[in-house]
Amino acid sequence: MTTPLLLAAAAEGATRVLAVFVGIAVVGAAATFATTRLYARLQRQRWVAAFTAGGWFATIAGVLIGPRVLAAVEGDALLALRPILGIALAWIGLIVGLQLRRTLVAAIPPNLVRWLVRDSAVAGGVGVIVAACWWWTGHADQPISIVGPAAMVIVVAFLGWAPETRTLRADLTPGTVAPAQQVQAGGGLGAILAIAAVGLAMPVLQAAGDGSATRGAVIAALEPVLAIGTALLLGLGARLLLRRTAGRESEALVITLALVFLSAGIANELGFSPLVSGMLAGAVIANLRDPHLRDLERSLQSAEPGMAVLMLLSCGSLAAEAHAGEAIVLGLAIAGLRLVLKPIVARTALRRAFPDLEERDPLTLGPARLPMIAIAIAVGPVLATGDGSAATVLAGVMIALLLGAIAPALAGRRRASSDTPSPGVAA
Amino acid sequence: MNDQTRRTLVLLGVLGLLAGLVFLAHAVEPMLAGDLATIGAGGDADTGRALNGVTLSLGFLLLGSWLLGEIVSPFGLPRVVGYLVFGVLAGPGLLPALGLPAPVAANELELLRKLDALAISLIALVAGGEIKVAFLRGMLGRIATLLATQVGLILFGVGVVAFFLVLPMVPSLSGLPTPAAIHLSLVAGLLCVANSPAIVIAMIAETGARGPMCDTALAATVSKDLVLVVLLTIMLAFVPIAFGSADDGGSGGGLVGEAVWHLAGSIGFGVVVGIAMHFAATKIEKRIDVFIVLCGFAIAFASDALHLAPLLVALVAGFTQANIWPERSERMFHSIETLLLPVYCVFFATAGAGIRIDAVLALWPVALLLVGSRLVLVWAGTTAGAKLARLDPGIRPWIWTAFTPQAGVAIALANEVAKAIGDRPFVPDLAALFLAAIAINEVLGPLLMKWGLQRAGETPSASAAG
Repeated sequence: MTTPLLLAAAAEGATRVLAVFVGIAVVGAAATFATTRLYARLQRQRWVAAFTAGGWFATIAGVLIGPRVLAAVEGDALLALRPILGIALAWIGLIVGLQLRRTLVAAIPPNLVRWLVRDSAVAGGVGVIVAACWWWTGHADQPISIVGPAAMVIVVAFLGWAPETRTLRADLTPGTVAPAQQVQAGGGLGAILAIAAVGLAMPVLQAAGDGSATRGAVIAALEPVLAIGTALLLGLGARLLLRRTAGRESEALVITLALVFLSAGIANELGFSPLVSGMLAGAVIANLRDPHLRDLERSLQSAEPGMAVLMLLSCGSLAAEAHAGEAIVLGLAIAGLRLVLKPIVARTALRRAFPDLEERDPLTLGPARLPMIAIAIAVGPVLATGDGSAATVLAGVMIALLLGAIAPALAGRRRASSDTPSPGVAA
Repeated sequence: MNDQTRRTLVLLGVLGLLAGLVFLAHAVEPMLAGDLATIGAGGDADTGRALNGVTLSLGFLLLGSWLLGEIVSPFGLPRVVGYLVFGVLAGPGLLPALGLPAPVAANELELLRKLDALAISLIALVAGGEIKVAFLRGMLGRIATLLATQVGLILFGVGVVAFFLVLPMVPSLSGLPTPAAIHLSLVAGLLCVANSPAIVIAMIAETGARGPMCDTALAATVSKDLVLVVLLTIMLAFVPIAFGSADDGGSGGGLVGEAVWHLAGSIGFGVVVGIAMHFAATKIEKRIDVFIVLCGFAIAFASDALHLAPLLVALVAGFTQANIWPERSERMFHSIETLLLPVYCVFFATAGAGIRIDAVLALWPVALLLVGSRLVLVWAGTTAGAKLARLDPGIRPWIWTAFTPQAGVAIALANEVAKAIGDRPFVPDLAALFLAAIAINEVLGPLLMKWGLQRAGETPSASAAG
């Protein structure tokens, strides 16, 4: 028991109230600071940007308010996180799905597709081995319905990468603009790929965990159909209603919120991931080509940073149930293997498409960083099963994300300094 | 077919589709979600199912109530009535009574109720911003006169009606000893004094009304909440005497201390929150709406932890900002107004869903008697008070309508009274009677208030016609 918890046990009400206040103050101060000019200035520093992109500040705040430290969020409040996170997941899914506009998909360069396929095959394969090792070392006796989704999260943590390149290369040259754009586009596509993998794997895992083979097969077949049907209905419904609001801001807000809540709610009710239902609804909206839907897209996308912060804050609290040692080993394994594997695949792919790019350009380290979507995916099994092993995998993915955010930047800096000739040599 | 009819038909079609989608989801849920729905809540099946279904219920109530509000609006009905009626239709009271499944289950509704404090915080922030010191300075004496007359007349008038007519009509309440009957009659009077600040604010916002009736009704409704807290504390202190039991109701000193903390603590904390919100808001460059929602959560959360009234805390916070920094707080109040539509939809639909239909069906004649006498006494008390307070003659005949809607405050008072009286056999009937009467006022009040605002010439359409 931590010191604040001991104090709470001794002085009950007063300390509990104090903890709640400190929790509110921590989140409030962090949220307010994140919107200030000073923070915007600090963000121009490469290291601050790397820490922010990796979610260090929000994760630490989440751990601080969680059950292990201040305990401002525990018990009922922790349970209440379940619907809130479901909503955040659907929202993130919608933002990802909005990228699936036909014109954008048609413009994907073939070499990027080849890179993603090769990367997914290599990294996914390694992910399966890591997941199998994790399952074999202490989780083999758990039911598949509990341990299956957690193992799937480990595999998915190896797919895709963060679409951010600024912290690696702030000074883009004419020769590095196009490769940087490809790294960014690959990050976006990787997120879609990861969510699609979850969408396909979850019904199969659920079916495998089900006692009856017939019932399992029906579930596996029915869920994707229902998810697509719901997405079509929600997208078309949103268009119909938005055409009748005549651009009134408050009514558009009602429709946007209802779309997110219904997306998340139906997914919860039918047992599939809100990320998947959100992504499908986003894809429908992106392809309806209606000017009224552009406002909806903008308002959904404008909440992206807020949703990411909410997700990380909540994960900091949810990960309290994790087995710390196992999570650290898992996090180190994911981050380390990604740092070794991903740049090799990236170097081959980028050098083939952009022969002028230096072999050891820092951009090739970009794919080593975990995408934020990995956290969103890792939350799913914790919410669905509430099991400690799922929380451990979530904590492992969070550690990998935090390490992944700074390790490539650190490696890039070392590489840059080792490439720079010393003054003596230059002279 | 004109545009309006086509629009109404489209909205009805979407509402039908939405209801179909929700019923379908509920029908296939047991097969598809299976046990996964329950294990996340530590094995508690009910909590698991409620947590699983609450997001769908939230989306359903939000969109459905907005749609029904839009559908009823062209017929001259307030949108708030549409939100409330949708809640009644979707809630666990009506459809199960007809043998059909409810789209929003009782345990999901319980979870949604936790959002009430957030909604109340946001609504009260705006309400506080609407009250100006200059107006209060000139009106304080008049509002005190209006309230004293109104509260006095309703309290004792309803008390007499309840003692001689209402209580004898309910079998379990008819044989009570005289002190208990007198106490319960006065409690009924107190409940009839309460009206809903949330509905008053929502109706002013919806109709776009401006003028002395709006300002006076808002300030008086808010001030009345303070009076109610004091009166309720006094009433609860008399529970042991009225029911002849020393261990009821707690000590007098404790109750006084609690009331003082409730009032002074809420006001003090509200000032602190207002100042803190202002300084934080000046530093914020973008997404002030997110900041406001976070503040609403913080007010709700902190008020719950400190046993304060979120309505009062947020009201004072809004009042502080609007009166100390009137120009600099404008941006924030404008952002809250944009957020209020979804807040109203969910808040009022949840209130509607919470209406005890079984109670209304069982006790409707007695409840109607209580509602009828309340309406007459609200009219008499307010009109007499307005005359004594020398309010603007143009609003005197109509201002009573603003005091007719009831909702959250009255329900909270009824629950508090039922809790204080304990588990005596007549308490379920008493609570059902009060809730049935509140339910009728909840739906009838907004209709009367809209009519009153129009007759007083404070709505834009009435002003244009005038």
